[in-house]
Amino acid sequence: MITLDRNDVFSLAPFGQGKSWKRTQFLELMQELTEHHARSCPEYARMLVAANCRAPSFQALEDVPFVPANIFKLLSLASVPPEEVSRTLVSSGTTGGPRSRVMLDQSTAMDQLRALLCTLGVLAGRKSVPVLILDSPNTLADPTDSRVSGRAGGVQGFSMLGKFRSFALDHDLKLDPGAIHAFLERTDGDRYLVYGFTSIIYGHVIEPLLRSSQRFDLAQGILVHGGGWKTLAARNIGDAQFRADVAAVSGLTRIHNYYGMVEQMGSIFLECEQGHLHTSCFSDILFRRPRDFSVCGPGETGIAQVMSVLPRSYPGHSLLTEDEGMLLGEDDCPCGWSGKYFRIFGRLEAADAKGCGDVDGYARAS
Amino acid sequence: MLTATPEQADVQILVGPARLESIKAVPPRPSVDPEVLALLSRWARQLLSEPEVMTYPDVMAFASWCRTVPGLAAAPEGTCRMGRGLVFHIAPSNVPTMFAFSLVAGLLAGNANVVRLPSGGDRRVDLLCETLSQVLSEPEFEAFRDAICLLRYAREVSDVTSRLSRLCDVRVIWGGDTTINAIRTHAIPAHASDLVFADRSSAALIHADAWLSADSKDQTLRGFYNDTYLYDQNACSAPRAVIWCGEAVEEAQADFWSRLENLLAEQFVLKPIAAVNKLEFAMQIAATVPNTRMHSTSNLAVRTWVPEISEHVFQGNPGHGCFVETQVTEIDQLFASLPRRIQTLSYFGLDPQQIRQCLIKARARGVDRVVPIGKTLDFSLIWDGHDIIGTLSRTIRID
Repeated sequence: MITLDRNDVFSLAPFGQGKSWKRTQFLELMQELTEHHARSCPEYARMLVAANCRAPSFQALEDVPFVPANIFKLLSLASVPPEEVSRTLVSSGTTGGPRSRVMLDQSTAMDQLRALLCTLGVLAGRKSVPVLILDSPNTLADPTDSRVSGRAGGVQGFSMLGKFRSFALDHDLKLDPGAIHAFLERTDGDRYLVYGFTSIIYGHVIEPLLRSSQRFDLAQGILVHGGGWKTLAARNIGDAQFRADVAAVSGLTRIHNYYGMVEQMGSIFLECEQGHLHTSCFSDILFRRPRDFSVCGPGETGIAQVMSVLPRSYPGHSLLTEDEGMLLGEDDCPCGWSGKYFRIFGRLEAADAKGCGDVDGYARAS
Repeated sequence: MLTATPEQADVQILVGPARLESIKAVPPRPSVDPEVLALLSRWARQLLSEPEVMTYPDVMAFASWCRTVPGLAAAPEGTCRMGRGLVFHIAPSNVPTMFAFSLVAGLLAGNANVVRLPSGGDRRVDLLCETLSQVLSEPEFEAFRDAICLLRYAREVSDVTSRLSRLCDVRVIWGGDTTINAIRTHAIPAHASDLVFADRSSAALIHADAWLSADSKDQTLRGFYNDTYLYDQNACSAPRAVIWCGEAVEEAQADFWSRLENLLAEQFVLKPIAAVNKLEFAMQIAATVPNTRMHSTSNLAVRTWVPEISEHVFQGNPGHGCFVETQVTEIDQLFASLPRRIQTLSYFGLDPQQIRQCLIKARARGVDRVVPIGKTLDFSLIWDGHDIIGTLSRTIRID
């Protein structure tokens, strides 16, 4: 077998790689990454030993060991010396709870951007296009700050991809019609990307516009959005409602949701025109049964395990999420993209917050 | 000073007087007063007559405990015991019936009692309150109507906590540590005292060879299941560590856990999130404690083998069937190293007298309770190292 150079992945068609590539080349990248992290991150090495996965030789993707994504809330895990960590991504986290801390070095951060660029290129063309960010420039306030939230990380990533960029919201997260009009004038009828955090888009763009008579013509745009779905679910806003509302206020109809996590920034699972989330050449996904973590078949609900070829500075290439979903198929989505396509239903139902340490909320045990 | 106003809208009184002034005015009784025993026995009878109670083994267990009240110690010679006055109980939510045991201890000691119930509704709590209300409405128990008040209010309504704290003579706080610290910010009278039950963890000690030759395996396993899985391993007394001694440890382990797996497959419903949380715990231990082994056969019982038991291996255990395991060659050495946090040691295949001697000889810091496997949830008036009746009463010396 010819060994694939990691860098070659960036020149592939992201949604053009099928089963056979995934089961050989992608698997080999996973093998190499697992060995790299086992060599470089002592805590990760101890986890592998404890799981009896000492000198792994993977026959299939399901053999790749996984760590729970939340482990990054409990431990600071790095596969590079501390002086090479250039930024730390911090998850939004639940209020008051611990936050994930993801250690990035220059090269992993760069790979994340490259992967994002390749993936979005499928929608907007390989050539750099303008980006309208549906967020506030505050998210970029201090680019030298080494601690970045997931939302800011997304905005920064997308805004660096663009030929030029504008922010649709002002510093107070209020719509900035002047900025939007100026952006549209500059694009001059060309295609452009529109990016935002789902909950921010809904709460700060769609809802205010629905309440007013103001409308924008963003019909030339391609909207890519993800994250903060909990806010929408709480308000009972489903995907169809979201799409209809976006179209009503902006004329935007090319809308792609994505699924991704701050622990694997850059390798996003993008929604195709059929409304299915897809793996790319940078990523893969498995669904596992709660009972014993065996792998679910297509159509069977399970816990999502996400894989990414990007994380080199921290052992996050194979993570067990707290999200529930279902594999729909592989390489045969009517949209024409290769790879697995699937659905994510949302977060697993929380366990009762009772424990030694809990009189209602906190508490104790007898 | 009597300004507590449970009449306010956010306080819900389930049992008791409409005004707290009347409860403060109730004089103490002698400890273990026959009238109290009559009340308890009547309450138990009422509970056992409710068909719905049969569906809750823990309420049943409370009722049968109430009928006989085991573990009552007599006052030391030359003394008599009386209540201290008013006891304010902050009940825990992880074991719904706990408030009732706490109340009974307060009554037996001879006190009037105000109990703050857990705010989350639970049918078992309601059943206990309804039956007690019914019994108190009988003319025979009229005298107790002002002496018992069960109420519920949101944790955030701290002025109620503050007022009740100023009224009481003893405050009983069933933790966690966070709750204890929060409640302690409310002053109690100078003469009053707190009886606190802080966060604790528990362990089981099994003699491997005794296990392999035992003929009561099924019964013991059912007991272990009740100890752990009945409250999702959230009771402080539920073992989160399993310690093996003896020779054929590996064989005994294999046998014990595979039998438990079979029982779990029939009886236990695993929440998917619990599978993730348990893996998280195991991996965290693996990452931070060298020579850890994860060796579960399924996610029903997640087991993490550690070289030794320390405070650290109890941190962050999510319950729902999540265990650390280890092996010791000498039990003496085990007792010397068990952390202070260990509350209940449940055992199988060992002689309690031998455990007693080891505890003393090793000058153990941890372990406040030693019971056979299957008995960890049995409430006793000696708890967490406290003689509860003694603490909630005045011992009056008469020469």
